[in-house]
Amino acid sequence: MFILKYALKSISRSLGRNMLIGMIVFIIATAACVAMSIQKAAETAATQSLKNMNISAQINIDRGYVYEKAKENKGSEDMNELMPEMMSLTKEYTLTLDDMEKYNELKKKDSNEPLIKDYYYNASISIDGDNIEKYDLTSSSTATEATTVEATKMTDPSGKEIEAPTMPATPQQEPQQMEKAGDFSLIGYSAYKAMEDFGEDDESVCKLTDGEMFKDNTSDYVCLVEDNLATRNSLKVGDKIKLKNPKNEDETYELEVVGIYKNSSSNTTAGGSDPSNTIITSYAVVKDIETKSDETNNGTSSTSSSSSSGSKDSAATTAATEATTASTSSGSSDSSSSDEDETVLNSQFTGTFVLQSVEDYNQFKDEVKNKAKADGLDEDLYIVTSNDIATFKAGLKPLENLKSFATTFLYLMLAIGAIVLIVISVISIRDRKYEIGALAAMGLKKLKLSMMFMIEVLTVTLVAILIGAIAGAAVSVPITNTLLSAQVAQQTTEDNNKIQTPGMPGGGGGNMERPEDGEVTGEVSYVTQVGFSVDIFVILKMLAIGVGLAIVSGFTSIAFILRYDPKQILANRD
Amino acid sequence: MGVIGLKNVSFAYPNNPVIQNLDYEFEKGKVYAITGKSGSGKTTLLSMLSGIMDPTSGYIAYNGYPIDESDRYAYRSRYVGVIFQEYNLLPKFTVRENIMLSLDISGRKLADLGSYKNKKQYVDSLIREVGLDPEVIGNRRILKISGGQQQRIAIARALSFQPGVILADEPTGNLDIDTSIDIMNVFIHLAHQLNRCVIIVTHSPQIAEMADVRLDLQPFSKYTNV
Repeated sequence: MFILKYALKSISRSLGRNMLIGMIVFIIATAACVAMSIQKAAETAATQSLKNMNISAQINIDRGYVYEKAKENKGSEDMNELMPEMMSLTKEYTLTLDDMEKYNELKKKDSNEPLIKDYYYNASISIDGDNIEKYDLTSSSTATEATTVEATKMTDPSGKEIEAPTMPATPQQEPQQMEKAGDFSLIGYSAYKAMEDFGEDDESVCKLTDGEMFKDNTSDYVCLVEDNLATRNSLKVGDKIKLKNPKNEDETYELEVVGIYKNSSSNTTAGGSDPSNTIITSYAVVKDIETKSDETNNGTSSTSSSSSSGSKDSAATTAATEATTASTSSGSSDSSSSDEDETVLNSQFTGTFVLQSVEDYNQFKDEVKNKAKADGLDEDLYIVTSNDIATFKAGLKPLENLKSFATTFLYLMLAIGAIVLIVISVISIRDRKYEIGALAAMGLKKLKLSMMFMIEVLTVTLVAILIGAIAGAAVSVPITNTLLSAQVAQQTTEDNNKIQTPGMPGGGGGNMERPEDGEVTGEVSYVTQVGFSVDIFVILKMLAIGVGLAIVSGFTSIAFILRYDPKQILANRD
Repeated sequence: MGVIGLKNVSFAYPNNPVIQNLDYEFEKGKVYAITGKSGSGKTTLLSMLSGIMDPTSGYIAYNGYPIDESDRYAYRSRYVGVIFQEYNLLPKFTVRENIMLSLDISGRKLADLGSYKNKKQYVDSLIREVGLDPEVIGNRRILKISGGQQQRIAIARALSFQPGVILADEPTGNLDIDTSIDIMNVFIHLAHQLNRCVIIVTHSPQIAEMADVRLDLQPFSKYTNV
């Protein structure tokens, strides 16, 4: 008991030294508290936002896998040779509606409840306008000029920049770009709920401003056009627009405008065109156009995997009556079937699964691998991506960066703090050598002497930690938000740079390496503010740090105390 | 048999033998003065008697029992009160705290020391015993009192747990002659009235003459009983 009493008295009698130790620990504690509150804020933001979040996920073919497979099949690394093989493999492996329905039967691990809450799908076709011009903010006057693929650079899976491949030349054709893209993207949705960007609230990217939404999966040739596009072409509800196959100008399709919508997103589409050039219709219509295009150009029904999904909608497609088609005049009627295939409008099928939680999403990822394996395919063939998760993670990136910085800073502070405390302890013990000798000469055992010094260090450290924790808690929110705003600004600049240099390594386009949950396609809403995050766990961690520092400092003292011999101390003094 | 004894004690620093084969018994109720030239081993002998230093050979016996490593701390804290040449008081603590700390380290209970209400009363009685006023000096830090007062407080501290043996290294070395005589009178009182064994090391012939027994230590373990 007297050890405690004299240890506490000793603190007050050596105020200068203990204030110095206290100040160092206080600074460490304040910085540590801020760093840990940043860590906690990042964790809280991640867990709370993901709670009860409906997650939309897609199953995609791993482009890296396809690339490797194509290399294996062709025994070449020349992209010009590989690209047709890659396209062929992609078609072969593309999921169908049948596959989607199989996934829909999956059950949750821990219960018999369905894993998939909902699923929907869309198909898109790149198409040209016949009686409408594309909307182009920068040069609307050139909208009617022939469209070519603008991107001439892309990267291989290793990130190395390569020239865009050309299709193999035939006697009838000059080498051409891989795909002749249309001015417009015609997207057909299976249902209104598949149109994720549409809504009534203020946060919705797309809102219907005139007319009405068409019926789910209607086979009527109706569509929605974007407000800018409508203005550009003086379109109003009830007007009819004519679209044509970019590779066969005589193949046209007429759709009635039943609604006009406003897209508030500033992002360009995947093909780099303005989002205003997206025309929306039903899935049945797109599949019908695809079927008709196949019939027009090949004279037979398509057997591609993507169109097999259309067979499930045959009732809808046969009802299509509005299309006007013309026989192909591309000059390739007598060419090989592959040439004809290149003229046919091919849709890109995208299925979306809705999952109720991150756990379900993770299970779904595993199930996709398992199913691929069960089907005799490589388990890495398909990858599950989610724009929700990717956007969410992208939104957290500045906070995650800050967390990473805070963690490094925390370790650095602790290391420096520990070193400084050790140095102070050594100096302090040397100063108190005589005191140690005197107490030992009086018969105070080294164990009790060590306890006395330990209590001193522990008391000073814990008091400083407590004050530091309070100060840290008080300043953590403003400091975190200030640092976060700087991070957000930096991230925004990085994002803008990426947009300006698509396809560059590390950029969004062209690179065959995919981020874990897919690329972010919409606008990212960054976490810019965090709330008060100091809780009992942070306090406990602070205490652990305090005890740790006290132990480091205290044991340094003890090591010296145990080494000292009172007779030597007093003899030297003599 | 004396209260404390040297049993064939030798001590040598590396390549420098200081004490060789000393045998002596110190008895209660007497004041011993150890004198000798510089380097004769006076302070070394006192350090061995206090248990701070170990003999190179032989041993120190307390009440006939050798002091071994295991009970060295108990010996120092309960049976031997040491007054160091430099006092070895804790400068940042007060007079009372210095004495009370020694008492606490010894683990002696107040009830065993006399009829005192509390430790403070007992500590104050010790301060008075060495001729100081506890009301004036009790709460002063050691740094704030004179050398003579520090010497007296060092004695009071050594007496705090009522040890059977009091060892003092040059207890009057820094004091004027009047104060030195006062201090010696305190030691004589302790030996004669309270039956303690007091052993002092001194250079001063005047102080040595006041002791009951004077041992003149000469180099290489010779001593003369004067």
